[in-house]
Amino acid sequence: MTPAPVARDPGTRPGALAWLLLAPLLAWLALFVVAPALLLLGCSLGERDEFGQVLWGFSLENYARVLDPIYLRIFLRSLGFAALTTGLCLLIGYPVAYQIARAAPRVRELLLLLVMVPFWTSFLVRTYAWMAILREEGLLNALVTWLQPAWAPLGLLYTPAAVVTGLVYSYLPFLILPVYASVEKLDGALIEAAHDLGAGPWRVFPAVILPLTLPGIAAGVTLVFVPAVAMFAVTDLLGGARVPLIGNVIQNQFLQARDWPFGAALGVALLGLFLVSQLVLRALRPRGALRG
Amino acid sequence: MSASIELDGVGKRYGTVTAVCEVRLTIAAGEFLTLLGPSGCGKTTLLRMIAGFEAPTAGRILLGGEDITGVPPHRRPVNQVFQGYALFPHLSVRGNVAFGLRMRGVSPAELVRRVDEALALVSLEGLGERFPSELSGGQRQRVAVARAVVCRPQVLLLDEPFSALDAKLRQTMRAELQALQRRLGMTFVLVTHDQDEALALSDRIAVISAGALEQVGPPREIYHRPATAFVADFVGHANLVPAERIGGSAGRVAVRLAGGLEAGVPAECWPAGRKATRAVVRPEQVVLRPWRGDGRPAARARVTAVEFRGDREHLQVALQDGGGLTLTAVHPGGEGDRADFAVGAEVAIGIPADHLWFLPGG
Repeated sequence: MTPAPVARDPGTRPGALAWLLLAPLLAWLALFVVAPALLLLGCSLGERDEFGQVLWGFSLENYARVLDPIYLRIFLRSLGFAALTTGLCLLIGYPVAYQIARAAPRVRELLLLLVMVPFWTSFLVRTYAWMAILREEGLLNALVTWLQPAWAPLGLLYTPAAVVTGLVYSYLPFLILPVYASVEKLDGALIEAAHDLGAGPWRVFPAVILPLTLPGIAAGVTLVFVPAVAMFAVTDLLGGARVPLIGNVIQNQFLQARDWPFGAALGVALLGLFLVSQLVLRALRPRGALRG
Repeated sequence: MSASIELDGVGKRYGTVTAVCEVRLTIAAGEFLTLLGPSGCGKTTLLRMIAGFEAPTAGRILLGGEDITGVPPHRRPVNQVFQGYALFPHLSVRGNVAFGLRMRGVSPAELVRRVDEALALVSLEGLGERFPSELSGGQRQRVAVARAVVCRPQVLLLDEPFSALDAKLRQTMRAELQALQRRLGMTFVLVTHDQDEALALSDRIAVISAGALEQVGPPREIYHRPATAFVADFVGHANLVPAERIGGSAGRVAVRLAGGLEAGVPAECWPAGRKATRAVVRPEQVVLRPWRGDGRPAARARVTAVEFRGDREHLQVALQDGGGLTLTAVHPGGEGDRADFAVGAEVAIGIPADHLWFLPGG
């Protein structure tokens, strides 16, 4: 669809008002996104001295280290964990979002509220709660001991499974909400039209519902995948030191190793990865989906 | 002609609310039938039950003699043109038209051939690669029609297919749709609240009010011989004039209308056994002359309002001794005699007896 032409006040510079209204956002982006990113980029090209201070310069040394198999493996593992998290969120979240959007208005409001209730508590508190659940003397093991003593105790905490559980738990609402929004916009007549044209319940989904809710899925996947790759709190608390992911490595470079330039290089590499994946996603988007 | 659809006491209740009450209606194969009624009368619910989107709470629906009451919509050989068209925005015109064939597992070669055929049928060749958002309203409607007829349904259902179009385009699309129906020989069931559409397109009209059939018949019969006051008033404009029987002989009935007009009408027009009822007088049946003081068989009236409609004028005329009765009359919109029929002018009213119709139910 062509955007409607914006009515302009004759005499003022075209779009002056628009720029004025956008100014706070632009300033915020410039100050807290563009500037830090440039700082990070500059830092990544420098070196550290023996006291951990950044020596500004121009060297690709840090990027060579990023390509070290140790770090590449951690990168890959992080991507794998994030992909698994995203996949599970999609598997659990899509049907939930679909049902919420198709529920009666009053039920819908209640269900949406329930999805957002976890945000009322601090994220860290909720992650500690998971530790209490998964721990050897925790709730889950107490339940297992009671039901099936032979299996107890299950070593759950500090495993990849615990990390993925925590990640899925944390990011599920970020998938549900955008998918909900796109299902809610979906015109019910389109589903009826598909039925009318011979699509049974199982064929309507891939033929009509899925392609038309793709924008919501794309938004949800991005909102889950991107932060999940770089997450360090959940992996720290639920994975211990046994499952280091790229977020933990970066955090360590800045806080423990005091090697800011290398940490910055890792960060820039991650940023580059996201940019590339976004461009690929954009190129893959079907023609019809761009239109109304 | 064989029966295409048979509605056998089909009804729909939502809790205590009755949306459709036990409709009995047989639609012949190849017939163009219109369900006509005001919004909320249940006509769309009836259509949705034929399509399979709603399950009737009473009765059966037969298609070609076969009971399809419990058959889900995707297994019914019935397709629909939706109100607002419901074209798939993520599919091209071809993709939309091919959808039904794909779901039926038609071979690729046949699919291409039949899609081409359907696009040609609605004159959309060359627009196959466009997306619905790139089409005009009329083109969208054609895609919706092509998408629905490509599967060769036994019945095509159309839910207010012209409501999204402007008046001029509506005329064109109406003519196209009628031509298409004649060419395909397919049974069409159209839902509309627009009486012009119903009169112009249908073989038969089923007038629905409050979930029940009021009258079913050819457009001319519906217009000239309405069964109820509702039908008379909903289809075209009607003056309902109180009438009483004052005598009769040899196949004729002498009738006196309110306002003092008397007429002899054929006995079959008068509901047998009734003393009084109401006459249906269409505005175009009211004959107007300037008042010259000449009395019968004309009644004296005064013009109270004039509505200019271009090719004609609609006049409101109040009868002098009609107990406050006001009639609507149509007058050709000529300029020559405007003063004779201006507001306040006295006119003589005549109602020729030959086309009078009397409501059977009073």
